[in-house]
Amino acid sequence: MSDTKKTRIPIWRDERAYAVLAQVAFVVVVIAAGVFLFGNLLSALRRQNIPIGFDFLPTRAGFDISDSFLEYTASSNYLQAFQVGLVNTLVVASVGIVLASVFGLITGLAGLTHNFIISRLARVYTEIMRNVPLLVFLVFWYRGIVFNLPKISEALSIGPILVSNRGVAIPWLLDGALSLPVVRGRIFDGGFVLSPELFAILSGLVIYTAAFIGEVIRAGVQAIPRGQFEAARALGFTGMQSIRLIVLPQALRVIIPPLTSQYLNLTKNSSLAAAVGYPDLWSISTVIINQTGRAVEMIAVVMGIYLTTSLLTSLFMNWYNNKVRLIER
Amino acid sequence: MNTSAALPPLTERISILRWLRQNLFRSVADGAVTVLGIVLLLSLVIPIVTWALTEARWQVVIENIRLFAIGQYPIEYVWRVWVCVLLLALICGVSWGLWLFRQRAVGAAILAAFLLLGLLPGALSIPATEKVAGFSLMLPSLAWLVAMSTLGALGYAIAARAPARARKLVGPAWILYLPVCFVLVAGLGPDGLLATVGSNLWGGLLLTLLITAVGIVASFPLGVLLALGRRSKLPVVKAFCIGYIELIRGVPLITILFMAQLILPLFLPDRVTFGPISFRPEIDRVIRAMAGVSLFSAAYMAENVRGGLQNIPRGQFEAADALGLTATQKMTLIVLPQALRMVVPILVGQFIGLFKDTSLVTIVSLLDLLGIGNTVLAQPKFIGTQREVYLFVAAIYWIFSYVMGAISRRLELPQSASRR
Repeated sequence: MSDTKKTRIPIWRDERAYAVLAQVAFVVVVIAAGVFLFGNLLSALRRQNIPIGFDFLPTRAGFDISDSFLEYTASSNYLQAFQVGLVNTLVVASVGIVLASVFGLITGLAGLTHNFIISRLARVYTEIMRNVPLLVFLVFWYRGIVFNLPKISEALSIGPILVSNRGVAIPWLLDGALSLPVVRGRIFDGGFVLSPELFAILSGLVIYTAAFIGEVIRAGVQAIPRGQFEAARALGFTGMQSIRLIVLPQALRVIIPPLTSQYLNLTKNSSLAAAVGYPDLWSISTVIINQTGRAVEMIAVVMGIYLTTSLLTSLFMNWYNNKVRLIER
Repeated sequence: MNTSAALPPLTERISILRWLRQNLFRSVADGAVTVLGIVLLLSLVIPIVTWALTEARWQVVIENIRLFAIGQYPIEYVWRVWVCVLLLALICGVSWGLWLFRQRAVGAAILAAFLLLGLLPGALSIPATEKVAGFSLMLPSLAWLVAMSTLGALGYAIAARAPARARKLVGPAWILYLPVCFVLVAGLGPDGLLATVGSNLWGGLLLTLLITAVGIVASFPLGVLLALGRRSKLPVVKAFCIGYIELIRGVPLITILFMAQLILPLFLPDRVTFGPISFRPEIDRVIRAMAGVSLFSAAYMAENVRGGLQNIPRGQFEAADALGLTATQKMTLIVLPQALRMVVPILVGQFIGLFKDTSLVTIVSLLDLLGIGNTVLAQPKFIGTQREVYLFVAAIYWIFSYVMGAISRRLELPQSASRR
């Protein structure tokens, strides 16, 4: 008994020692590779006479941006241009998430109905979207459809919404009153006008993502055993009540994790806005890279921003997921 | 036996009227929705079909079919690409004979894909400038179809005649297939039969499939390593893997692709010297895109593989330890085979995603299927044919993704020995 206490494991036969050694070796290799690559990077930049740092941000940008929610002119600086892009991306991502959720919910429920026509329509729409790359769909949507919408003088009106190849006008609150858009000559008057590019990226992302969200919702509801419906009906719940109080709370637990990843996908996919000419964060960054040659800094900053957004969204959805989680005994 | 007993009660027998009532007109509201759905369907389908049959100028696709398939690949070396396709037919035939002969649906899907692929070489052997007559298009296509089905059948016959030998050969054949294709497409020397064809000439579906294949093959081992690293007991390794996976999964693919194009070359040393040999290292643009796609895909692969690893019961690890297997043996012989088999459908889903994601290399100005579409649209003769071109491109992506998805859903994997 006391024997085992006294004898020490020699260090060359101690697993823990090997674990530490392996990690030290790993760190050394990673640092060596990092130093080597970063050294090469610095010397390559020095050879091309590109300095490293963010000193270029306050200099004059000199390019125009077609869509902006902030004050911006060609004489603004790079930092302001970057901010315009950031706001544009946030607008597209947040509005896109809301609309995609709504249409996704409709698609998902349509796929679940017993109505043959409606469920088949939902099915076909989902199958088309899920097997086509987003970028291909976006360029088709923008260059094939949005470009060929009717002229502004013959703008289509879908309810109060006016649709033309010069943009889409929607009712909007102006000075505290609801302003309905009308066509006046060659421009829209009143309401809020989305440029064709903003309309294309927003509607394209929504149409595409809604198909995926629809599948997520359909799978979530189908995961609920039929008995739950039937039990709710047996207890005298109405159809709406049984969905709202019995099915949805349970389905949400299944739906939320994949729904989160769809939201993150939509946010990251908004970086394809460049393909439809919308000046989002990434497309403005590429313009800045082309003008200044500061690829390293710009790519690092943009990656940082997307990473932060993704992590924040995940944190929020995890918090929400914990709230709706099944609390077991 | 009383046959009427087998029939369901009168009220449950299927009739057209009852079906309509059950599925379309259960209530007034339901009927209204049905009518609305039909109106919506017709208002979408009728204009689209009319446009496709009358207005659409499909000539743009027919005349540029070779560009769509292989880009600017020199016509005198096109046979090398077709050899790749034929080799694939042979290997698929053998694999089918060995493993899948009982799964009709899978076989039919693969067959359909091949028929489509088989039509291409025939259509493409006609130079784009020549007038395309229906008959001259059909003949070479038929010849190619015959050649491909012969090779496929040959493979099947080999598998049926000598299954033991075929089983030994088919694994290495699959492993060697991609490198062989790469050599065939890229070429070896300055001239001769296998003259080098620069990657700037690769394009269309060929480039898309090459990037996809390289992406899959490169990201798979990387993803498995990252997944194992993330579950490692060594905190440093674990932190590194988590950091990599979360970083890549948090940023859009397009930023990674730009990084691969713009920054990856800067990471290389200015000159490499090995004794007398000194050269300036450079990475080809296509290779850079492949690297970007692989590094991106590896992070997602890692998460999928981790899902499989988490589902391996503890007992398997403990049993491996009890048998005295080393850590490497435990992983490669016990854990990984089970974990990977479990996640095959998810991995196929991810491969499809990767295939679709390769369209982003268009943005870094490679001429993949979509990029070729853009160049075709720049031809003055075909101005205003965006819809035709992009629909065609989308249709090709759709067919490949759908077929791959259908195969993976129907695939019944050979079970591990313990469950057989």
